[in-house]
Parts: sequence; C-alpha cells; structure tokens
Amino acid sequence: MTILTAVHHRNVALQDLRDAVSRWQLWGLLGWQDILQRYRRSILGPFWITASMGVLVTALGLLYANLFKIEVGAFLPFIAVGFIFWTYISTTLNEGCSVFISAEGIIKQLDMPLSLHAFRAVWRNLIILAHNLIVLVVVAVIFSVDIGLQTLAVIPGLALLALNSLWMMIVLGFAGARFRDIAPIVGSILQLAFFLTPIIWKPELLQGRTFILNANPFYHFIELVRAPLLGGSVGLISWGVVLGITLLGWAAALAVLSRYGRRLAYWL
Amino acid sequence: MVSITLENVSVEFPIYNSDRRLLRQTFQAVAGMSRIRHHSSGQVSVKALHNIDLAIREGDRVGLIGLNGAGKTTLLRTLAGVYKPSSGTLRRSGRVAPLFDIGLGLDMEATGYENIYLKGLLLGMSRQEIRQKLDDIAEFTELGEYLGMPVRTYSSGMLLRLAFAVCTSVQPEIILMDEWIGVGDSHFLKKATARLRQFVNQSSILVLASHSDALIREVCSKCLLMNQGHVVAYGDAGDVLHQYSLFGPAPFFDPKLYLKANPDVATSELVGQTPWFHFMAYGVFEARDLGNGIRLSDFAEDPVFAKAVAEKDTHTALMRIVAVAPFLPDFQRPAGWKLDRDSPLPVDFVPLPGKYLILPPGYEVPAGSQAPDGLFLSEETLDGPGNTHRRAVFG
Repeated sequence: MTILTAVHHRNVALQDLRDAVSRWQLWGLLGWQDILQRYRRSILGPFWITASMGVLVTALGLLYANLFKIEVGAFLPFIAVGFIFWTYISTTLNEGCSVFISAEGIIKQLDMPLSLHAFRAVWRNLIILAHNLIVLVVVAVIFSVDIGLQTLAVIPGLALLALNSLWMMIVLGFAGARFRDIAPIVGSILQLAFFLTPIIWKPELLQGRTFILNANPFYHFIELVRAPLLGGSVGLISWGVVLGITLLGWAAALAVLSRYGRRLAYWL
Repeated sequence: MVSITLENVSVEFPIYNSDRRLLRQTFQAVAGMSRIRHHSSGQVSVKALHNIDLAIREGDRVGLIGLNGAGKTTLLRTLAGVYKPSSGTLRRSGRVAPLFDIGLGLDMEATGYENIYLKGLLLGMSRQEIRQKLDDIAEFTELGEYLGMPVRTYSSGMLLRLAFAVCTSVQPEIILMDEWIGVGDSHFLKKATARLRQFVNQSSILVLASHSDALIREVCSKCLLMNQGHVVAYGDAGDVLHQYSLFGPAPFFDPKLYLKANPDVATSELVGQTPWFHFMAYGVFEARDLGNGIRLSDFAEDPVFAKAVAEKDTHTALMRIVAVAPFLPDFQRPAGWKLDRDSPLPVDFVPLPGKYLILPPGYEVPAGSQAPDGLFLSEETLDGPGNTHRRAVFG
C-alpha cells in the first residue's frame, strides 16, 4: 500500500536510499550507457578519457616542473594524481546541479527513488575515474613512485570521496532544480577553487601559511587520496575535516530528501 | 486487493519563471476567479486539481474525459505518484505501470537488445526477468537481426514496436495511460491491438485519458469527467459520455449529489438504473433537485422549460437547464469555475415570483445583448463587502 499525503515523513529519505540501492542494476546500466553513448563509433571508445588525461597531465607536468624549477620525476606524479581527482570532484559537483533536471523525463513519468539519479551520476563519474587511474599506473611505473602498504590508505579515501559525491549530488541537485542560478555559481566557485587548491602548485610554496590550505575543503579531499598514492600519509586534520563534512553533508542530504523530495517533480 | 483511493486531494503547481507583473495584470481582471493564485509572498501558483475524492476499485476500467487543461494528465501523474498531493491523501495498492510516453528511456545509440534491457530495468524488471522474456519480446517486434543494430537506424514505426513490446511485457496491476497507444503499420496494428487488449485485460485497474468517445465506450466501464481541475461526474461510462455530449464539461450534474438529494433514486438503482438514467427518464419531468443548487422547481414558471416537460422533450429541457443553471443564485459553482465568456444571457427566462437570477462572478454581459423590458440590472452586494455580484433581477 502506497500512501501519499501532504505531510512529509522523516523516514522517507532512508526509504528512498534503500530503494535506490536495491535498483543497482538500473543505475549501473544507465551509468554505463551514459559513457558508451559518448564514445560510440569511436575507435578508442572510453579510452579516449585515458588518452586525453594522459596527454594533459604530461604536458602540464612538464610545463610546470620547468616553471617552478622542480624535478619532473617528483612533480609529474603529483600533478597527475591531483588533476585526475580534481577532475572527478569538479565534474561531480558541476553535474550535481543538473542531476534531477536532466532526469526530468523519468521523474515526471515514474515514481522512482530520487537518489537513484545521484547514484547513476556518481557511478558514471567513478567509471571515468577508473579510466583515468590507468594514467596513474603508467606514471607510477615510469617514475617509480613509492608504493607500499601505506598506499592501501587510498581505499578508504576513495570510499569517502564517493560517499561525499553522493550527498553533494543530492543537495546540489535539489538546489539546482529549484534555483537555476546554482549551476553557474557552482561553476565559478569551482574555477576559483582550482587555482586556490594545490593541484598544479605544491603546498610547500605557501611556506608555512597553512591556514590557506586548512581552510580549503577541496585540499583535504585531494590530500585524502593523493598522499597515499604518492607514498605519504594523510594528515589528521584532513581525516577530521573530511569525516566531519561527510557527516554534516549526509545529514543535510537526508533532510533535503525528506523535506523536498515530494516537491521536486513540481520544480522541473 | 488492488485499489486507488483519493481523499480531498489537491495539486498545486508553483510557477517560478512567470512574469508576475504581466500575470497580475491579466488575472486581476478576473480576480478571485482564476485558478492562478497569488500568495502574499509574491509566489504564483496554479491549482491543477481541486479537492478530488475518488475511489477506484479492482476491476474498474476508468476513462478520463474533459477538455484540454481539465487536469486529466495531472490526475494521471498524481495517481502514478509523480506529483505528490499538496493536500489530501492518496492510497494505492498494486503495482503501477504508467504508460504516458512509452519511448521513455530509449537510448538512440544503443542496440535494440541493449534498449530492451534498459527499458525493462526502468519498468522495474530485473535482468533475470528480462532475460526470460527476451525471446518473447524479440519475436513480437519482428525486428529480427535489426535488434543488434543501434536504434538510431530504426524507423519511427520500428522504434515504437520495440518500446511497445517491452512495455507490454510487464504484468502490472494498475495501468495508467494518456491516450491509447497507437502502433504503426496495418499489419502490425492487428497484432499490437491484440497484445494491448491482453495486457490491459490482465490488469486489475485501468485509467485511460482519451479524447475518443468510441474508445472509452469500448474499453472502459466507468468514466470520470473533469473540468478545470474538478471532478464533474464519475459513474457509468455510457452515462457520463452522454452527459458530456449534452451538458459539456459544465458541472450541472453529479451522480453522487443527485443520489444524495434524491434518496429514493437509490432504490431504483437497485433495479439497474443509474442516476443519470433516472434523471433523463424521470428526474427532468419530476422537478427534482440536482443536489448542487439546481432545483428544477425553480423552472416552474418558465414557459420554455414547462413546454418541453409537457411535450416530454428531454433534449430541449436539458438545453434550457444548461442555459439558465449558471445564473441560478443557489447554483454551487466549484471553486474557481468559470462560465464561458460568450455564454448568452437567458433573457427570456421567467423565474418564480420573488426570485431572481445573478450574473456569475467574472461573467461579463456579452456585447450587443440587450436586456428586454422588465429586466433590471443593478450592482448590489450579495455576499458582503469586497465580493460584489451583479444581480439581474426580473421585475
């Protein structure tokens, strides 16, 4: 028995998430189709993602290593990891603003868990990330990056990153559907954040002005995965900030989902 | 037990990108009359469904009729759970299949087979289920080796066949359709019609919005007439269609209200008479109360109506009701209901002594219509300050 009323229930959000998870076959396929659609009839297919990222990272690495007068062997892996994960973060945030708008057709015809669309988009971006990770493997081999047990710390890092993308997609998706100015605002913020975050420059350049780093959530997210991959360890501050954001973010996502989930179809 | 129940369900759309100034100018002219509401916050909203009470039971085949913009599609989407009620409660048990756009979710670059999986999953099937039905679906489409090709290469007919085959391969308990699905060429048509029939017959409830009377007569057992977001009548399909053809979408007859005002009709219903049938066969001639403020006793002094009744001319009598009912002072207009601007003034009507007709709110006397001698038009406050109704009093 389905009961729909004007009153919203607190457990609606959890039910929505449960239903979305149980329909993994659907969002799994939709996510794959999104990728395939982009690269159908091309010879390299989705590996164009890998190829273009490889070229970009190599060029940027060589250029900036020269500009900053740093040894290429140390700088190229740094820029590769940073750039690949930044691409993931910024793409998910940008796409998050339109995650429900682009699913309007489905939302207006089928009563489906809303978070399913976020799962689909995150999954799609994880597939792209996986293609880009091939670049990392190549870079790691060429520059003999220090890989050991500490590298395993990247696994919880990746899990946290995915978990955070989900809530961000949900929150931004609602905001973007209701206020159409959110997408360009988010776009501009991300553009700025790219330069403020140590991706194409090393944090050491700040020479002790760590406040700029610690106040930047993007820095902590990048550090969470970059440090283990480059043979370092993740600072406690980064762990703390990311965990805190995860908890707060999910609380916000659940609140938004249960409060506005029933209104979303009206906004599209 | 498969069922859908609506209790006092309203659906209101917020409008965000409207030009508020323009809207205000346009709609202040019909202040209070429009379905467009201006909230104190400056928010504009449109009420698409007004306090709908409805019970659809197992076995019901409901046809939705009404003019464009009557709220048929909104009601279907509300039944599907797409639009959650702004107020009221909707209870539904049974697996629902909304078939508003059967092409939904087709990926043009993907092959026919991939699209079968895509659409199947979208409709709630699992991969295993689809695998079991794959041969049946593939065979039905007659697309053969085309199924291995991207659907971008298909003709629109082939595309429709594919979508149709997948959509009808599920077994829903409740089917919601916005117009009957039409499928391509004549050879395929027969096969598709048979499959659609079978698909519909297997379900417990069908709700079908359509502009085709013939289709509704053929497929549906019940009919719901909507107008401006209100349910005007709900009952036997033949009755409501007949009522629609005579009264149009105007809220002049509601079987529920008629039964309530005339409890004795309920007993005649036991011997197989519907309220509409009773009204047509007896009610018109018995000066009955229609239960919505239209009392046929008010027509007693009117020569046109009296003559029609005397001659047992049902059609003329009904047309007289259509012409006069909106001007009856007690007529209960549904909230926001608007009389057509070009409806003529019933200048030759003769009311009971001491009674008068009123001009419905928002109605303007059509240009060129002349009030004959003895017809007095004056502005008076009927319902308190701020709610002036113009009164046409017959002296």
